[in-house]
Amino acid sequence: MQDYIDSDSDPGPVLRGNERTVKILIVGHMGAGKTTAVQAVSEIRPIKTEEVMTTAGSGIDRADLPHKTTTTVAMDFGRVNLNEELVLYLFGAPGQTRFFDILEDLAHGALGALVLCDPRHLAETYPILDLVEELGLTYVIAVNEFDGADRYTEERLREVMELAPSIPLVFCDARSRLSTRDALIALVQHLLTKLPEPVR
Amino acid sequence: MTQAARPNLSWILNELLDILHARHALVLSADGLTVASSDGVNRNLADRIAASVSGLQSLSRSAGEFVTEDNTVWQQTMVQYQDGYLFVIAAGSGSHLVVSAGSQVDIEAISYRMEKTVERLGDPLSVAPREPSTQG
Repeated sequence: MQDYIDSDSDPGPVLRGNERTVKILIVGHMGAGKTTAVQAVSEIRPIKTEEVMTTAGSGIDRADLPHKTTTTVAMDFGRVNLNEELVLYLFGAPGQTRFFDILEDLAHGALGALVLCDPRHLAETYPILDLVEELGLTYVIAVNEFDGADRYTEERLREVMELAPSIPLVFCDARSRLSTRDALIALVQHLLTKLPEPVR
Repeated sequence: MTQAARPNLSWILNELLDILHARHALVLSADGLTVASSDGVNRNLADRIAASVSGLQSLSRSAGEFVTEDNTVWQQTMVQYQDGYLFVIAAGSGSHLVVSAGSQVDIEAISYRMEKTVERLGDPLSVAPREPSTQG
């Protein structure tokens, strides 16, 4: 790691260089909280590519989000150490279907995906799930519990989304570092169950 | 997955910065992770640049259909800022080379030098695709 000189302008954890690094994709429909989650959990200054939503998108992008004024057009990026040995590189993809080509590119090299969803707009998660399954990514669904939104039980959500029992579903608050981190831990634990048995 | 620093690549990247006004150089894997960088780029900056340049490359490639209908092959992305430039070129099949420079830089010279650097590095620079069965 002698190639990296840490500057004062860039606080954040320093990696030793021998950690295991895992690329994780953060996906979800528009407004599900992807950018919020990456901002909340990243231990380095995250990248966001938010642009103001314009009138050109009205009629295409959902307009029933009064507090949402910007949307991600390219990607989010953040990094988080889950423990001494494991570093997650988080790549957030835009949620709109017109950006799915970018999502496919961002998925290269990713081990798994965290699928964020707003329980008030479950139907918008389905195209994302289709794509993630098509890409062969292992995933966990993280239901972002927005303030003021109705709460549903896991059983009810599974029933509505027709989720296979093998797909984990967790609840989170994307604004919370710890809550988002817990969702990522659930994903990593699920990924571990998918790893082949070590050869003796 | 790629571990961050490869010292032997770093000194080749440092040499590239002999060009007047060249600032930083970094090699990233096509999936957006740092492979190596020139001296003076801290790891956190390197990781952010690797991620954003992978997005830049992806976007550049997809915009190629505006150049020719059959979506011509991407070769280089150049971005101009108030105080300088960013240049991105392919560096083997699975990686990219990004160099930053001040606004007084000789664009032709630095582009040529980047191509030469990639030629010189050849295969060691490319990052093998992940085998489906390997652990992360």
